Amino acid sequence: MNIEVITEFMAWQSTATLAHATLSAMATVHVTPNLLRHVPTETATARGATVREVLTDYFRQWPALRGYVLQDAGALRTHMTVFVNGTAIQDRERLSDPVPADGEVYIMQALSGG
Amino acid sequence: MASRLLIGTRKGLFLFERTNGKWAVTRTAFLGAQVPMALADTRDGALYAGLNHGHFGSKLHRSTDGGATWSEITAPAFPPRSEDVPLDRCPMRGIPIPWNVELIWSLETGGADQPGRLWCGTIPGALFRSDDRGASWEMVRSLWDQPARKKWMGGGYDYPGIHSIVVDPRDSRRVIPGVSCGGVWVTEDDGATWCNRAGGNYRPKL
Repeated sequence: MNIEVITEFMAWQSTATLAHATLSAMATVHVTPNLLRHVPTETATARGATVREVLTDYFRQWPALRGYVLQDAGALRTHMTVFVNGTAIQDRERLSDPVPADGEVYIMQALSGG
Repeated sequence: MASRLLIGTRKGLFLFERTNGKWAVTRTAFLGAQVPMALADTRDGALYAGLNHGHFGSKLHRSTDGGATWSEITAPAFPPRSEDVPLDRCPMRGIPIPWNVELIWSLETGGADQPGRLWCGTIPGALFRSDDRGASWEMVRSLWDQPARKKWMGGGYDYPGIHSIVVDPRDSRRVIPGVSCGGVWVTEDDGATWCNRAGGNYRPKL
């Protein structure tokens, strides 16, 4: 691949990435397989700038899942955790951690016990 | 004499039936999950099972075919609360009482004259009422808002809870929840007002 082709490829990649981000500024939500036997869900995109907003949009598609992940008042259940792009969220009460466009959100069980 | 037993365990729900004088397990459900409470509604034949999934919280299921199949229905839940109001704290240990159903601890049917009526007691100590066979629940605020309720404390569990509910067979509007630890409460008007009736509840000299 010569310099010209490489430059052209990089320009295309940059344009494609930008277009992708603009058209689909949505997070992708994944749910631990341990929950699927209770509430069958699928990996799907959800809209929002914070964990709260993204989960609210995701639960709109699968309302029964909400009570399995959140407590009655909306905080994350004690033994559940959420990762955004590989990092565990900090705000388990208000779920205010930011979710970047095209973020990857994982709803997981926390390892607990002794 | 009864010929059926619903037994909730930490490892699932077991339905025993007696045939020719012998008890045998005839059905199982929710194997591996804790079933802290089960209820048979003799008014319409429905069975109810409260579940505690640990990580995933308390859930409620109903069977209308004798336990052959089960469907998840709405579980009692605490209503939205203002974050400006601090959580109550256990008067003995000082730990905050979660605004969340931690455990479904008691289930009871209403009277024969109250079709669809169910009562549910939880940990923390809240009483819930349903008038549509568990499709929806409402916290009985008249009991929760009793000033004395804040003095309830946990016994064996971390938080106080309603462990039993008695509906007077002579008058369905008379309901008597028992609280661990918070005494015996009575309503004579279907939950509109409450009073504590723990007087005389003492251990005599041995």
